[in-house]
Amino acid sequence: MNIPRTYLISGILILAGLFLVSCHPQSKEAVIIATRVPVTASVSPDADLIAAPDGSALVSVGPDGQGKPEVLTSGFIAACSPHVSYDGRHILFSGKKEKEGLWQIWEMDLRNKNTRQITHCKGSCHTPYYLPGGRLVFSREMPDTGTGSFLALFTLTLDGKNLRQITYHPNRDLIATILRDGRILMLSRRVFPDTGKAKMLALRPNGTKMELFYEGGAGTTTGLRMAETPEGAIWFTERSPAGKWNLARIVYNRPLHSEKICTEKIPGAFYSVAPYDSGQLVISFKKPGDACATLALFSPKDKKVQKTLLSDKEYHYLDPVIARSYERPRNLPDELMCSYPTGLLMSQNVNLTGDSVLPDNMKAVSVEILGMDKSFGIVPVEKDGSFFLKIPANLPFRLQTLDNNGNIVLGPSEWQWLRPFERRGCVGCHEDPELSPENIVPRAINTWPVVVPVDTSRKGVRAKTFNVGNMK
Amino acid sequence: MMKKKKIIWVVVVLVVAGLLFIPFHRFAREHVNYMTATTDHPLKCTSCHLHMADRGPVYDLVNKTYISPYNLAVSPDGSRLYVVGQEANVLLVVDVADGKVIDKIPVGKRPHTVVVTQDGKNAYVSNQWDDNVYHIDLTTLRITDTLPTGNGPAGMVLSKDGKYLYVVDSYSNEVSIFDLITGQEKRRLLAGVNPTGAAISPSGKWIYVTSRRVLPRPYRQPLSTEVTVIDAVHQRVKERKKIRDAYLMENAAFTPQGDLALITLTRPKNLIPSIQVEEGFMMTHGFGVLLPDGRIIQLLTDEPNAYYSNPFDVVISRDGKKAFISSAAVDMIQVIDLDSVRALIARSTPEELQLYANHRGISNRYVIRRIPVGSDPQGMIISPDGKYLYVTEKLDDKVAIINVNTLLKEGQIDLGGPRKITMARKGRRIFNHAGGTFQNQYSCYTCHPDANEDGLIYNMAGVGMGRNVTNTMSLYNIGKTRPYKWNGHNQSVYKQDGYRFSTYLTRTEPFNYDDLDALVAYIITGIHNPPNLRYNPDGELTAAQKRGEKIFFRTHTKDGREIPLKDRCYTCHPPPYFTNRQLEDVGTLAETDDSIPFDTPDLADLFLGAPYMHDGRAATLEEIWTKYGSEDRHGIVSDMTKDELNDMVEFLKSIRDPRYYTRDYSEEYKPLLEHIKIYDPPIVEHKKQH
Amino acid sequence: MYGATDYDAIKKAAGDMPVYGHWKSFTTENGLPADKAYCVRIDGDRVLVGTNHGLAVYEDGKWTNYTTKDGLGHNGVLAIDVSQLTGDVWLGTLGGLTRWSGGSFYTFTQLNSGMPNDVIYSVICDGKDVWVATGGGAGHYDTYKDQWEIYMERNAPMHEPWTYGVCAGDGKIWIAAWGGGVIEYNTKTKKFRDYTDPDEQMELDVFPDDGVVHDITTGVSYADGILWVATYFGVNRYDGVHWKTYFDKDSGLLSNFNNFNRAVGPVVYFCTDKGLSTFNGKTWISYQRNENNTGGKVLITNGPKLTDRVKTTSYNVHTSLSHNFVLGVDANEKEIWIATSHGVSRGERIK
Repeated sequence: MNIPRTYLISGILILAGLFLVSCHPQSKEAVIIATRVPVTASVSPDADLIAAPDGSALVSVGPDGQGKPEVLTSGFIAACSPHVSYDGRHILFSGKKEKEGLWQIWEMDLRNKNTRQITHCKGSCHTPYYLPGGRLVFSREMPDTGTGSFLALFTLTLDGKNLRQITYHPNRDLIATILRDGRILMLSRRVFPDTGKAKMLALRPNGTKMELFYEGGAGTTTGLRMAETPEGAIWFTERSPAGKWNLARIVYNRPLHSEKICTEKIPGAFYSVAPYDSGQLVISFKKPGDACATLALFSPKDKKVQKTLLSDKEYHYLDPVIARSYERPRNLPDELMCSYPTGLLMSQNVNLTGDSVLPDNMKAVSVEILGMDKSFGIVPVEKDGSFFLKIPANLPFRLQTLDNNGNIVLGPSEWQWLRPFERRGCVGCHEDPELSPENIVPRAINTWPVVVPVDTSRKGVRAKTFNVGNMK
Repeated sequence: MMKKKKIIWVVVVLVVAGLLFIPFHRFAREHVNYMTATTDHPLKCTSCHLHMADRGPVYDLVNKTYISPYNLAVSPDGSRLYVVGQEANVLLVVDVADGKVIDKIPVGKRPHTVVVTQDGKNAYVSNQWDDNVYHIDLTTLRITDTLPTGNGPAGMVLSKDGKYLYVVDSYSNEVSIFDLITGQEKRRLLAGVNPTGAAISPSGKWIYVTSRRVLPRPYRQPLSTEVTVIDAVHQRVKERKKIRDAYLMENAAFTPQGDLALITLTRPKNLIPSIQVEEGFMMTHGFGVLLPDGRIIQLLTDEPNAYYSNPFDVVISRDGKKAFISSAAVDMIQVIDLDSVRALIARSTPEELQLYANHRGISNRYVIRRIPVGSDPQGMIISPDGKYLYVTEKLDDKVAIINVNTLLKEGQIDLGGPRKITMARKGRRIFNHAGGTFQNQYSCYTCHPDANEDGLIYNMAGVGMGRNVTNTMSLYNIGKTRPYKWNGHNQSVYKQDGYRFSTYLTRTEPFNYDDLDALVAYIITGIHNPPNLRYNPDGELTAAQKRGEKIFFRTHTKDGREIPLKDRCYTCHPPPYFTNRQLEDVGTLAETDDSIPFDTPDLADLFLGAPYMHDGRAATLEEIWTKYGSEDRHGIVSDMTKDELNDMVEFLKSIRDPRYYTRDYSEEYKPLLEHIKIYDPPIVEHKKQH
Repeated sequence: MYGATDYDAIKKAAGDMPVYGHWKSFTTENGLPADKAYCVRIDGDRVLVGTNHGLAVYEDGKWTNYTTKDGLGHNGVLAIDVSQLTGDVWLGTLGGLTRWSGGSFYTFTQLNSGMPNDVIYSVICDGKDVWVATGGGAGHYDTYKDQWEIYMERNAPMHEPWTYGVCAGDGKIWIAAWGGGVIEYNTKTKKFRDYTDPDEQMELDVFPDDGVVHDITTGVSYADGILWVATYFGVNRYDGVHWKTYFDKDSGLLSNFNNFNRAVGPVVYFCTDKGLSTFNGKTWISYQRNENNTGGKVLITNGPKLTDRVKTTSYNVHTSLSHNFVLGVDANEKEIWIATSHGVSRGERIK
């Protein structure tokens, strides 16, 4: 055979290219990974979805549901909450090796199924998510110090080092997703001094600038996982007051007022959702009368459950994810100085509440800073309603505003905290979160911030410096 | 023998190269670390040494002249578009049916706007950097007349009867009114600060002129920007509408019914500490609605988590039901349903309407579509039949065609710009686009319109809040005037726009090195100063300016005492850029400033406007000395009389970009200047960018 | 009620000169912000009055007042001119030069601009240029070039920088300079010349008609090719060649003490401490209020100077000025307005 050399080389290159393309995680061979939960287990999907019972495992199946599900976590007593790395080659998950052991965070190389333990915490760790910059964030059970059991978020590098706590309030924080803008979305429920309603809060990966992102209507329960599409839709599940789990969607651009329940008319329960190809969604769905939740495709356009991908009479399939590469969220910069002892909080006008400013006879004249077990003091607000506080970092606090007679005008607020060197601003107090601030110099910042806890003997001491020396 | 020699030579060369590699690499690493203030920049020599030449053969080699279509007009029959090519200094004639450019008419420098007379026979093009308007005969496509204007002619409108042309003089803050029969300027009216856009009411009675910079105001007090209302019958300014808390009001449009006038605007938050971007703490964007009863309503087009930055042009459909706003920094056209706006205004209380100016949640009541278009959409025009909207895609050298009914982009007209996207062009796209900030809240261009500065004083809150307020600095000549920031901590543009920039300003992921290379290339090479035609049109100084120059370069007080070298003007402000690039303390430190010396600013852009000093406290050049510098720490002025101070101010205003010099200061003042050292700033810090 | 015959007789005696009557006065009781009015300017259908408590604008029968709260440089408004080019109002105040344009005020001061001094005694608009007479010299502002120039004793033939009045016409600017007579500036050649009192006598006018009556000048006004000069010691008429001097003792001028003068067409109006005198080079008509009632006198002198044959005739009228200490005046075809130390008065032109 006399094949020209050029043709030969070209042919080899083409074949090599095809081989490489076929191996690329973006190829159609990307698998679906889900949490498989034994139907015989006492915990049903209707309950707390992170409480995967013993026997729960991660399984993978072909993109169209073809083939027998492959168990990925055979060495684990239980495993759940998979999250795929941006290159599609690894997953994080929470797993338990021993029956009475703690949940820890693990990473699996999907190419060889090798796993490695990342966390070695003294409390159980849940809902791990990759963060840009070689880090991850997870939720950890915190010791009960009299406030009840709560969960805090931590970050660390993938090598298991540089562990940092980023949430500091007595809430149960579980991660719902990492937004494309780089922020963490967490489902957070206050547990002290009373139990509050679970809300979706957004915060930066360093634990700063926390704000309300989404809150379901009265009587609803928001499912844990959220899935954001490149088009800006955020899909999640929500239990209606009547007890039906639905598929819901909000728009990233305006999450507080864009909710649409998409499956009210479809009988059955929708437990979890992830974006699939061509605008479709892969869902965890239980038909009426069925014992188990299956994996199926859902068309948002037609609002129809289409093809069942994976079902089993013995197992629920929950929390599907697609193992393929995807666009990495923004890697947000970190302005914190960990050695710095305080943060600064400024409010522009505490008397701006809802969509209006309180009338003069109802206006607050001071703000009280409440700690977990005591008051940190009362600080007068300026004439324009502004205040400026210097608060110890990582300290949970709540605020309430007081009138001339010391009566509460508004509050107490949800728990807040400031990270070291965090500077944070509020437009008002319980104001419409879609309001932007007026462009005026708040009177309070014309002088130094009041130091919290307030030295009551001296009616509040103002800081004389920001203790940072000659900043670069 | 020869072969052996060759081998020896090769070996020698390799050994020498090997020996040199390590020190050279170390040197290169240190040099790049210094320039970028990072330690992980890939050692791409071309990043700086190829793409940052701002003139000469290398510049010519790697750069291209793009068209940069800006504003446009359409012929009365709809068959032709006339597109201003701002960078190529041309007026393009486009055949709409063929979608092709059929003629290129060279016009003056930096053309801004084109208007076409009702009969379609004449066009007028404002040449912003030539201080004139070209009259073009559209039947012959030749320039038939040149109308000298005020400084920086920009937006234009024709009177309803076609007899007068109103030209907005953007740098001298005036409106020139031309009698088109005589071709003479009839009068000039005072406008707002940095006026640009103009629109005439359907009745022809009113002309609205929008401004970009804020009006003079007490220091750190709420700002407002002017819409100048001209009575076109009497050719007088009837009213100066103060649009509170807004600026960068680029353009205006009236509904055909005349019941609404819309202006584009940005609402900056410069008085609030820049401590976060979330909740619209830096900028919001939208439009103003000016009602015949005098009410001014501001509505945002932003959403709680998405901002539509740098609204530029606004046009209204023929039926008066839709308004189109080009949101330049997000490459979108926003479509406003005007009946919804009317209804919103009708049913809202004054308090509610006031609140809406800061409400990011109500735009879904009237923004009915956001249409993606090409890079940096600017000027727009609707076809005479009302069916199509044409939009210039400035940094794509194209014109988008949008169907007004379906609101879909149906096509694009390629204006024939260079195919290659140079590094600087890529950088300009990054500079103008808001993608580099959290949730697209603003772009570099927002605070640096035209790569200059926006005239605002920001509380950048580097540490704490309420401290270290800073006057936005111009980017003109920035490549020659390092270090940067008022504290001089940034020794290069690279560092200026690097990780700290993202940490404290954009608050999103830093630019990657490819983008940062491009951005810096644009900032160093692609920004050109306007000529100082108002104060120094030809390089020949006036008598007052000459007297002022003598004062600037004086070495002795009037009574013969020698002025210490450190107190002479030229010591810190030596030409050609009028900065020695050193940190100095000239007694301007405020109580709210950290105790630091300040980077000596260059003076080549003084003529472009107030405020002055590091914190912008001086509203005029005179105030630098009359109010704040009378203690002889910022130069010796106490022996000067008022007229002498005036002369010095006149000289300062006459300073031009060295590109426009016709003189050589270094030769003229050689004995004085040869002792003045211009320093390179020291390394301040290194950090990994990524 | 007015007797028509009074005015018929006055009109007949006045000849070409405009006659004003049916005076109506305004004080704080009518809405004026202060009784002391320094200056007045008719601007189309409205009248602008500078008082010591701000600017008052009379329009549609109502007074609207503006003060420093609105943006005025100072509440003492000493001078007003309206740019014929732009319609902008320029206000000389005790605290700077305020430009009132389209309802907005902007003030140039000696601190924020190149203006020589904050005490503005006089302001005039000459096309695109604005000139001011101040306590620190004369100032010229080129609105197109945004450029100030100051003229004082160092660069102009002035005795000292105190200037009191300024006017423009036919390519020239005239400045009434305290102690410096009249300074003439040619806008084309940019050169000065001065007109001072040739006899250099402070108390006497030794030679009549030899030049400016006194080096301390209080006002200049130019119209129809004639420059009119006011001083505290008499007034002058200058036709470019010849100077004429008029005193109260030898002409129809009510008083040698002249605060201000304004020429409108062929007629000049002198604001004196004893009333208002008007003159067209031939005939004097003066208006003076009675001390005991609101009526007054119209005094007509049918000749430039009093002689044996030329005498002053007095006519009683039922209405007159609000006060005889007149500080400002402006007139048009229909009416005249004067500012006095106690109120503002409007007189109708008797047709």
